Amino acid sequence: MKNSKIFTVVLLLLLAVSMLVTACSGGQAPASSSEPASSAPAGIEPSGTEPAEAGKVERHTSDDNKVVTLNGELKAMETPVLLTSVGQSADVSMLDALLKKIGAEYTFNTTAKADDMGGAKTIIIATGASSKGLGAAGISADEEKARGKELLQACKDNEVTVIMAHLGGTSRRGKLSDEFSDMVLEYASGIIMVEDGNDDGKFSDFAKEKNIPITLVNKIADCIDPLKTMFGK
Amino acid sequence: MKKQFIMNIAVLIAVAAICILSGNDFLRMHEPDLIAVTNQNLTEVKMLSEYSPGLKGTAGDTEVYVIKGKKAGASMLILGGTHPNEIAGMLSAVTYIENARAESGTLYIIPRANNSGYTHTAPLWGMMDIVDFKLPDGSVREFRIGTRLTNPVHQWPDPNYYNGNSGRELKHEEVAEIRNLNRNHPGNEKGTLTEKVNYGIANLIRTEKIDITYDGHEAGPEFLRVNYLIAHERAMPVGSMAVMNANIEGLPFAIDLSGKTSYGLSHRALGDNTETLATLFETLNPAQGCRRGKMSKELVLGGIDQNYVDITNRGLLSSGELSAEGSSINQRTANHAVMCRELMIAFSESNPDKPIEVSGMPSYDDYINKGLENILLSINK
Repeated sequence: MKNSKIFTVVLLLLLAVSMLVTACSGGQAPASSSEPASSAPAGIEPSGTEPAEAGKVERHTSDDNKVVTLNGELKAMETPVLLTSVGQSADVSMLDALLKKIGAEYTFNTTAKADDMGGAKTIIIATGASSKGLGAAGISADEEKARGKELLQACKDNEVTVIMAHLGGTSRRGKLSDEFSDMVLEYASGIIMVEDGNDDGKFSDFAKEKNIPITLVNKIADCIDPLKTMFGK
Repeated sequence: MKKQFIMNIAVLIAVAAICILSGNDFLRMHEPDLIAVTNQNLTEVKMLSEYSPGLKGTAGDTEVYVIKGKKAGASMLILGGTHPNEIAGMLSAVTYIENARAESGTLYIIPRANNSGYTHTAPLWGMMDIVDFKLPDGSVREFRIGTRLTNPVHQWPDPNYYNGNSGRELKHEEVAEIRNLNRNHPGNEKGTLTEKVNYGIANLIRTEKIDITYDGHEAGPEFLRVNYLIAHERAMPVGSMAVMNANIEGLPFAIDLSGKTSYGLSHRALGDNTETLATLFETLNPAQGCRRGKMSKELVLGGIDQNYVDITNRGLLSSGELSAEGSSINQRTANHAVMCRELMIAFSESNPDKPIEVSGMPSYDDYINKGLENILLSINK
């Protein structure tokens, strides 16, 4: 009888210890809950969404100083203008919305090829990678690179001015996004960008080195005035 | 022996009393929240079973509020409560039901899209079950906070494997998503309860020729697309214009494209299977994050959580950064209401021959400064 009581007490103690250990383990929350992925689209970002590793540089824009152009001044572009993307991020749609907002005249083709330039004198290329955008366009990253390369070479051959637009901030930095941006930068005569994306100085340093104007804006909506200038509005 | 018998009976009575008391809490969650139907512009309240007959008499059937404009125009479907624990989408839908007037076009509003999901909370998550607002006349408006899945009391058991018509394959630990409304679009008329709700929504969109669909959600801070509008590719031009206009007004919203493999999600499946421009918007609800502090009214309504402020300050969040001021229910509801409005404006600008114009709604500042206490209508009136 005594043994039975001791056994029961030991069992209860073991049970209490196991409950304590379980209660204090702070286990990992199930993914389906932590990720109100309820609405989480699959493949949210492409590879290479890590922010660039580098020291932050001095910021030029602010809520009081929304637009800053370095290395020259912003000028009106030659028309006709073609708007396209390299990387297929949603930023090109935001740029399309901005251009509609200011009543600009342009042709919009997110997957324009060399044959689609239609006599354009200026091409604005929104850069930034999106796996969803590439998926929607039905092309791979390599195919997009090949398209971009061919398009940029055609711009060079036909003396078409290339303006790079980078509107996605830090979320459009990283390996794949930077590969698309680097490809366009090589041919760019000007850059317009949301300054968040230049926190490591990548774009301003390049513009300084190549002596091309770069227009930094505080927020995406601050693109309106510089775009008006570019379109002679 | 007799003493033992009495003891056993006493224990059984105590257990029965506890069951009855706790059972009342569960039963209370089956009582629908009241929505004021005094808006003179409210044309009709119908049931979703009109579009999915299999829902009739089930816990999945839900109200569809219709506000028809004086002039013809476009139609918009506003979904709240696809995930009942994401309360701002539902509250925005309620404020539309109680205040909106359609000048042109028609609004269809389903505030509790997954009605069954309102009847339970997520087990082991320490979630609140009800939130309330005290109105100036002293009355109280209560709203249930359910969870993101259909109640297993209404749809059970979950199979081991499922591959429905959404294209999403569910297996192992994911299979409970068979009860997730936002994984099973466009639904199945003869399918599970959840799929019948999905079917009703898709059939409503087809029958009423809904031009734009808005699915109001919330997300925890860890989610990568907080304050993002997710748009089907056909909705990108209108969505981008709406988001840009919101940005110009100082609201830092962003847009992203619906993934091609986002099977069963509203922005993908409703866009692919109907003519509607399908969109979904997420606001920041720290109460949904798994690193939040203790559950409280301050967290649910004020959106204040020091854990997430600390995590934000360490630069660890992508888009769900939380400041010490929090992400209040007023702000989150305002964000949904404004995003809906901007979509209507953008659609009307793009389709001037088929506008959808709505008046009577509180402004963004009204939501923030007056608060929902002063916007929600008294049920007593």
